[in-house]
Amino acid sequence: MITTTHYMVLLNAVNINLVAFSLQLQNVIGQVFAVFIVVVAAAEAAVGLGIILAFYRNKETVNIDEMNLLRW
Amino acid sequence: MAEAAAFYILATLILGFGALVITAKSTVHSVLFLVADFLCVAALYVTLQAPFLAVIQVMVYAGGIVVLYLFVVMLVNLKRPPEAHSDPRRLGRLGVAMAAAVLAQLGAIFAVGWVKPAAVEGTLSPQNVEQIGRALYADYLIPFELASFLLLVAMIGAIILAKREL
Repeated sequence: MITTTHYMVLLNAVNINLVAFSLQLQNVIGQVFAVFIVVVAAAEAAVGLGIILAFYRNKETVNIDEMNLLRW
Repeated sequence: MAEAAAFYILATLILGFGALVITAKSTVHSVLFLVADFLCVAALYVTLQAPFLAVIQVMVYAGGIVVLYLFVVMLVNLKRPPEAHSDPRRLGRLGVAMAAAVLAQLGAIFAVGWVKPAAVEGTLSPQNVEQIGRALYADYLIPFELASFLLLVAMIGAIILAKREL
């Protein structure tokens, strides 16, 4: 569960980088790209939390170490 | 001078809150630190002359995504302590090696010293929203429409995943 909050921090770091370059290069495209990253982050949060809910219904856990259905 | 001071204060806050987000034991605490982190990043966007993104950051991240997280935290029972186990398949050595590689790259950057990039002719206007809107609707119309389609697909997917039976 906590793991999914980490992605938001990662995407924020990328966004800061893009906005900083946008200012340095005086080009607005960096900010446009940052807007798209925000869109993708929102979509990812919705689907990711949906997956967590579905997984919790089946396995009664949200611990990532216990998610081993695909392991062989 | 004031800009540099603002940057260093905000950077310290962002790094501190980020570290708290990933080390917090309780998920609720983690999410609350995430809100503080997002607000600090929004303030940093203001200092970077991107007011539109600062507003988007507060509305979408601090307003929307965090509420979503809190809903899921309330729906999911996190009281049960996780079973303690160490996974032998965790590649600890590989992680250390990759961290060392990143550290070496950083060291190389600091050793060479950064070159201050030449100032570029300013096309970043004070009308930030207008400029972004023009870029989005003129040059990036197809990516913009694809992004809206992505949001639609994500919405349908989240509903299908979260609904017990359709």
